[in-house]
Amino acid sequence: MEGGVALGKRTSELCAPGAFALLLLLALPAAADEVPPGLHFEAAVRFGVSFQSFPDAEYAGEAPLDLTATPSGWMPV
Amino acid sequence: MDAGLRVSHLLFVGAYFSYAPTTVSPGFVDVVSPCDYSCYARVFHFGLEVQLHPVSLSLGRGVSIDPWIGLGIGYEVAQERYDSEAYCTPGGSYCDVPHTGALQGPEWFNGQVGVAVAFDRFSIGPYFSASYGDYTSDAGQSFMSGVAHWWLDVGLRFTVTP
Repeated sequence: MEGGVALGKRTSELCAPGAFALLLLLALPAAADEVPPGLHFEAAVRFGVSFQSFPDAEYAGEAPLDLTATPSGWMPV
Repeated sequence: MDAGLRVSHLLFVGAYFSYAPTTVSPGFVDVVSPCDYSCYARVFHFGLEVQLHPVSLSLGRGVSIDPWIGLGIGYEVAQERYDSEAYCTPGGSYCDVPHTGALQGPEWFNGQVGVAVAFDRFSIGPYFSASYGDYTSDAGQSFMSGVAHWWLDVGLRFTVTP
């Protein structure tokens, strides 16, 4: 990636510990059972960190981002 | 979060949704945003995905190693709000007023790879994903051309079959 620079950092993929707990509660009673063969529902929760990068060097920090240098709502002076 | 149907041991078809509070790296504050002032941002991703689970290596006692790869396509919305009342860009050409934005656009590609330790009805394991998309508008205003960007994710994934 040319000029890739981390611009944003997500501190958590999903900040909902309650969702994790809910899935755990769903899983534990059934943990001893085998998954039935064939089609069945599956759900997942992810926790992690993410980093954003812009492959175009123009947006990699050498020049202001077009979209934020003059964003809507900013006032010329 | 993922939800969908495990068509077989080999294939999962479903939808994904993610929410994340976001910060802007300090080195970008001068050129990107006044996020060193009062700033609020969050990112949503949602779309459809398929996952392939090519092999399952049994360890006995209902435990197995389940490597997988996935591919998805979707949409991204990055909302931001700058509450600063007096911030000017370097050079002073523009000053912001309290500003709300919603960068958004298609997420063309979302590639994922992971490995799970699977118990009968649940599994847990690390994953890595890379997604490529374009920001095509901000708060309803279209850009002349999309702003391409990547997201690289790493973390833990927990699955359950209720």
